[in-house]
This record gives sequence, structure tokens and C-alpha cells, in this order.
Amino acid sequence: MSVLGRGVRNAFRSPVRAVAVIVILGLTIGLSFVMLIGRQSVQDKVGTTLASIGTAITITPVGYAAGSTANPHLTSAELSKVAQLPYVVSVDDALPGSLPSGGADSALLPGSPGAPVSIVGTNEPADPPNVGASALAITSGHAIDGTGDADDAMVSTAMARRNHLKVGSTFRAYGAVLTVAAIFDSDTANGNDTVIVPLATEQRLSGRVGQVISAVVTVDSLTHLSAALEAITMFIGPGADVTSDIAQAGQALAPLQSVESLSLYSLVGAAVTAAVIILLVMVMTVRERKREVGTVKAIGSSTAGIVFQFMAEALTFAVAGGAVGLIAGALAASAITSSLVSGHDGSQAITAAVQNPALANLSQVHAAATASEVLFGLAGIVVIAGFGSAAASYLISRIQPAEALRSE
Amino acid sequence: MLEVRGVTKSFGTGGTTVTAVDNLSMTVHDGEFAAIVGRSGSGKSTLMNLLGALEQPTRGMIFVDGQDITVLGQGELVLYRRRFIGFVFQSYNLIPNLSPIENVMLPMEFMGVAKSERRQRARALLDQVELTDDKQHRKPGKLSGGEQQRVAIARALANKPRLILADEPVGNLDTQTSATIIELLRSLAQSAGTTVIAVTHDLSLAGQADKVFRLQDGRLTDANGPGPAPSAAGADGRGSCS
Repeated sequence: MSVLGRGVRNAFRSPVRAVAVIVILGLTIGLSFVMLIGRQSVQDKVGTTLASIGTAITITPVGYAAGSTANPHLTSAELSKVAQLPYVVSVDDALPGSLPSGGADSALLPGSPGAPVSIVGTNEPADPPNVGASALAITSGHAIDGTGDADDAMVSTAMARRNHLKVGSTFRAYGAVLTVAAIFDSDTANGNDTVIVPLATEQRLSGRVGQVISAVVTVDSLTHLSAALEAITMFIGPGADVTSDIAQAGQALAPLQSVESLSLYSLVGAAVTAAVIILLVMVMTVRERKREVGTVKAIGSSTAGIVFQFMAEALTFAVAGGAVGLIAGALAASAITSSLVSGHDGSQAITAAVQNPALANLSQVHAAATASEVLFGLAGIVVIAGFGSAAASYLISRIQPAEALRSE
Repeated sequence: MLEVRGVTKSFGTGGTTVTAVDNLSMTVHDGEFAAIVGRSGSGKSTLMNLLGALEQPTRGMIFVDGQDITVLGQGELVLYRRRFIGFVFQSYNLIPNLSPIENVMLPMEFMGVAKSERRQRARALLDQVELTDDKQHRKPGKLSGGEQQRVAIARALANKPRLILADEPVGNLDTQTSATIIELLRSLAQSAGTTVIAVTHDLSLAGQADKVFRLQDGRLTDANGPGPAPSAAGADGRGSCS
């Protein structure tokens, strides 16, 4: 019989004690595993949510209100400098306005009688947020050049149908003649009632040269969002509101992040408990078998051989307890994680979800063990067994054969 | 040949020093069956531990085939115990969850003997000590004291040692079983040319020894040839006996 074989056999020398140790270890390792799975699931949820929120920062003048004629504004010049700041990928400037329906200067029919027709000048004409939408698709023609100054326009399919327009048609706005360069569809009624023109064109035609009402800054990564937000705020100064959905997300995700922290502490606590259990069991075992250790040394075993045997015994407990724990943990992980998340969810997430669809279903965290988590758990078990048997090894190395044989 | 020269072993206990073996010298020749007798606390077991390299003397030298084992390092002491010594203990000290055959195989495993050879030799040794086949696979706890001591003797012989050290080998056995065990030890020593040193207070065992050493308060008081040791201790308690 090998050292390993004797170690395994010794673990079950007292079946009742072995089962008790394995059950206790199984519970603690199971708890560790649940916390590992839960933490990973919450991390995934937070990561997915943050990724879906995007890396956009919105800049609007303080006190801006739609429809006001005395609005403060940003300038193209300062926004072009924002584009030079670190981590900034692009700056989408927008200058919204409205065209009176009918009349000599503007002849477009609005979606509802008497309502003004919205117009927006932008350097990113295909960007949906400029028309208050989340999707925008060009159905015919080609997107206009937002950085140019041509009297070109993009109109929605509905507006084109209502006003009998097609690509190449012209219509009047601000007393000028604009050519339909493209027809688009957006996912909102407001978007479909907006005319899109180049930024410089809108600035010129509306008599607001150099002015910009809002800008959406895209940052290179989520990691740099906070840094970019801070840099833009410092550059723009107090005259503008610089906001990001990340702030809203932070509030909504706070409960989940507290669950993540709780899981980490519980994971560490349970793992340490498991290690201490093995440690104490092995210390007691070595003390109980002191005389036996002396005998085995007397008949020719090396200290290393005995240490390996006790380590094999500790590993047996850890593996058996780990198997129980991994199975129990995998079965219980989803229920426990859901319970933890719903217990910490509160109204913040719900409020945030109403404001931002990306933050919906935050409490729906699906916890399931992955192969990497199982491997991580197994590695943890080996570490726990190693730590637990370390004290036993130390005690054995100090036992002198004669002293051990004299002990009762 | 085993030669002990001026060996002393002292223990410090709570600020006082107790000398268990005091300046002791003795010689045992190859193949001899020697007995060490003495009262409890006379230093018999400590002497056995010193001979078996289970602990180191405070002073003195112990030569085994000309090699002083008191200067060996820990690794060399392990090899010495593994190759040269076979231990038989009063309480048998069998590993309780190993069968007799596995107990006998254990020292051979430490020696690096192949498993098939270990099993074959263990079976032969257990046959030699007359442990029946069905009992060779029982747990030691289900064997009688005499049977357990037979297994212990077989285990002591496993690596064909030059020296068997038996500490009160019949101390826990009845008279009839004791006689059998003593005869077994003696015959094994004779047939294999193995030196046997047995610590005992059993006069029948001492009576069969080739040589008897008497210990009192850690000092060797007398040495005799075959037959029971005289009850009177030597005058000065010191000396070199062979």
C-alpha cells in the first residue's frame, strides 16, 4: 500500500468522525462555492449592464429648455477642443430648432396639424440620439455630410410621404431651398418628425453661427468614462451640465455591488473556516496518533513519508468535503444568489430602470457554476488541504521517535 | 558487533536533570541473544532507545559494526533504523487499520522492496511465526495479544535486520504465550544469525539469554552468561561488561 493509499485509508479509520468532518467541510466549502458563483454572476451582471449603458457623455448648457428663445449655448469652437481631450473618440454636436409649418419660408406639413416641424443640425447625421431615437436607418439616398455646409436634408419616410418628397426633391426652410439627400426611418414618432441637416447649414440658416445646444461625447472605453467625464467638466466649466448614464447606473448598481462585496467576504470567511477545520482535525489526529508516528519512524519511515501520509489524509477530507460542497453549492447557488440580490435590490434599481432601459431586470441574476469556477473551487480545496495539513506536518517533524513511543 | 562506550543519557525536567543511563558500556556479539533486566525506571527502555537510534545519548558512543551511530545525521539514522534494526514493543504497536500482512509489509515499503516481493515475504514471515492464513488479513484488534506479538516479531524481521531490539516483548502476555514468544525470538535469532537484545523483567526470558545485563539506576551492575541473572546488584554500578 502506498503512502497515498494509507493516507486515504486513515481518513476513514473512524467512519463516524470521517463523515462528520466531511459534512462540516462540505457545508463550508459549499458556502464558499455558492459565494464564488454568486459573486461571479453579480460581476457578470454589473459588467453587462455597464457595457449596455455605453460610453457616452452628454453636454448641455445649464438652464437649457426646449423651445426657449433665450437659451444659453455651447460653441463649436469649445467642442472642437473637447474632441482633443484624452479618451475622447468623437463629439457629436447638435443644434436643434423648429420650422413653422406652412407659410412662405417653410412649407413642410407636420405630423399633427399646427405643430412645428423639428429640425436639427448635426455633424453626425446618422446618429439616432440627434432625433431622440435609439435607432435610425436610411431607406433611400445617401447620408448627408454633417461636417459640410450644403443645403441638403434628410427626412423621414412618413414626412416624405406626407409632403410627397423623394430623394432629389426640394422643399423650403428658413426661406432657403433644401434638397432631400436621404430618407430615413427612426424608432420614435418625434424622430420621424424631424428634419436633419448639416450643423453648419442649420447654424447659418437659423442665424446661430457657431452655436451648439447639445453634444454627445463618445469615450474610448467604459474604464475611462469617469476620467473623461471629469476632464470635460473641468474644461467646460460651470456653464454646462456634463452627465453620463454611468452616474445613474452607479446608483442603480450599488445594491448589486454590495452583494458582490458580501459574497467576497463570505467566500473568504467560508474558505478560511474550511481550512481551520482541516487544520484542527489534523492537529488532533496527529496528537492522537503520536505513538503511531513514533512506531512508524522506529520501523524505518522518514519524516517526509509520514508528512505525505498526513497530507494525503487531509487531502482526502478536503476532496470528499469539496465534492459534497461543490454539488450542494451548484444546486443551491441560484436560489441563494437570487435571495441575496432581491434582498438588496430595493427601489433604487426599479427607479433607475424606469429612467434607463439598460438598467431593467437588475435583480434577475442567473447564477450557475461554470467550468472555470469549478476548477477554481477545486484549486481552493487543494490550497485549503495544504494549509490545513501544514500544522500537522510541522508537529510531525518535531516528534522524536522515542518521545512519541513514551506517550500514551 | 554492538559496542556501547561510556554512554550517558540525561533528561531535563522542570529545572532538574535526571540521568536515565549513566556512563554505561557493554558489548554484544553477532548472533547473541542478550537480555537486559532491571526494575522499572532503571533505564532499560532508554538504553533500548539509544541502541535503536530513537534518541541520541548525552555522552558516549555506540558502535554498530564499527560505525559510531551517535554521529549520524537524521537521514542516516532513518537508514540505520530501516536497514539494521527490528523493533518489538511491549504493546506490539501494530498499525491498527492495517492487517497483519500489511503491517509486516510496511518496513519493506520504506526499504523500497517491490510490492509483490513484499507480499510474498510478509506471508512467509507470518507463516514462520505461525500466524494462520485466515488471521493474516484480520485487523490487529481482532487478534490475541500473543498473535499480535507474533505479527510484531514478523514485522521486526521484515528487512532482515542485524539487530532486533525487543522492549518487554512478553510483558503483556500470559506465561504460556510468553514462553512461545521467547522461544520464537530465540530460534529466529539462531536460525538467521540475528542479534537479539530484549529488555525484560521476566526471569524465564532472561534465563534463556546467552548474556544478561542488569541495570540499576541507569548503571550496569552485572553481566552473566546463560541462566537467570543473580538478584544481587554489583557494588559500584559502573563498569564495562561484555
